Amino acid sequence: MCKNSNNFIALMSGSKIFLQQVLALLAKDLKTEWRTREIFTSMFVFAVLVVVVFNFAIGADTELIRQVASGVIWIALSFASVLGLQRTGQMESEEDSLQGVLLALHDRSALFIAKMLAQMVYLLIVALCTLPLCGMWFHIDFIACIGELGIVFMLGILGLSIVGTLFAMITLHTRAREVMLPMLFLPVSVPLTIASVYATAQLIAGMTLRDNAGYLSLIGVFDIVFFTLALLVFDYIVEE
Amino acid sequence: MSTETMVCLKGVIKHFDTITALRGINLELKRGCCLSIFGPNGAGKTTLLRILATLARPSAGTVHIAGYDAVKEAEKVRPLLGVLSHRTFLYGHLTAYENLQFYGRMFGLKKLAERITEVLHVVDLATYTHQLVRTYSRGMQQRLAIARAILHYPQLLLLDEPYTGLDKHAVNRLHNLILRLHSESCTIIMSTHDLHHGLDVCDEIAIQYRGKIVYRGLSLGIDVQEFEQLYSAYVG
Repeated sequence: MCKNSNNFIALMSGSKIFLQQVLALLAKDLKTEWRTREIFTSMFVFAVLVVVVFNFAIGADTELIRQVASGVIWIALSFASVLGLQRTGQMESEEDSLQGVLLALHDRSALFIAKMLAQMVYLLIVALCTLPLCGMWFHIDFIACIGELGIVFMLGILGLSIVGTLFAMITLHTRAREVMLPMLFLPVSVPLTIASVYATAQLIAGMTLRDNAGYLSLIGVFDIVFFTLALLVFDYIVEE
Repeated sequence: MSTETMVCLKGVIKHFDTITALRGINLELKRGCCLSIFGPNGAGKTTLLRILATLARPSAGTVHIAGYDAVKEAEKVRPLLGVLSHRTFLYGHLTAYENLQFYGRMFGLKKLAERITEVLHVVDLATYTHQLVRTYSRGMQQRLAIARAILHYPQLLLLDEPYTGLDKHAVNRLHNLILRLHSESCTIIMSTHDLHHGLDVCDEIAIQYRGKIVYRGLSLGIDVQEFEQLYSAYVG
């Protein structure tokens, strides 16, 4: 009985430290970003450029634009994500700060979760700023299905953040990091991107979340599998 | 291992692919002692300190710190360690206070604001508390790194080439700080090329060469010239 209660206290105390460290790491990343705005600016400008280029490339065919709009949005988010991840990694490499963080961590998964949440925040803000522009240029009324789109974007961006953070940490100490990260991240995130593109397209076309249950399940399974995998391997990834 | 022993390494080997960085290191250090490790580049000093800091795993052998297995119980060992290298582990876009606040929260320190003020006074940076770290000189950054390293009351300080890249004035200030920490019974292991300062601060000396501790002895009574001869005899 006493041993069980001691184990419970140790578990609760461990969880409290874990949460405290996740929050400290997240606050540090967001504070740095608020001060420099380096990550958001590069991600947002890149996402807008992708949308503008596609807008010009497709021309005035409104129907065609509507058909490819969801693909353009998710491609813009995926590629913008790479820029954000590279800058995040660079921030931890300057003055070897990552080593300092690793020395303070009780459970190294806290670092993964904090980085993933930070990436998710950046991507959500970029998506929030880019969507109105897409709506304007592509003549799409996102407001009509904003709640349902919100769910798809939350799940899709969560997946991009999980896989992106995992590969960003794997490639952090590799020599050709700028090349390796997109080469690993983009192909692996293809199933997620495809499912997100189709789900978004169908919602824009007036279908409901229930009609998109298959795509949503695929996104959900993708998120769960990669989140579990990341937690299992993260300790070894940051070791050396 | 007695309770007096702070660090105990037995047969520690470390391979990096085909390269063997450590070839069977045996080392024991009592609480409150200061050990300076000297050796040429590539001797494995940084690898040894990284293993002690739980940042790398040994390929073979055991590492115990304060009675804990540094591999299997790394999460219990980490709060006992303060690590200072020639890289500061600080964030340039945060102020000194914010950097220390971040690390303090990571270690779950109580009365954090008071502790930050205290350590900033120790390293003589109290007047620069709210200045961004990227505007600091190299010497100031290294002193702030000391503040970061001692913030959570570590029992063992690991210093990896702490004097690298500092001017004479900054080296002397840092040296006085290390002397002060040693006088407060902090156990210190330092790797350095600086024979003068390395000998001055330590109780024990070791020479590491090609992944092995080739000499270990007390520093008492050894002056720099004598030690240079000794060093040459082992390292060449």
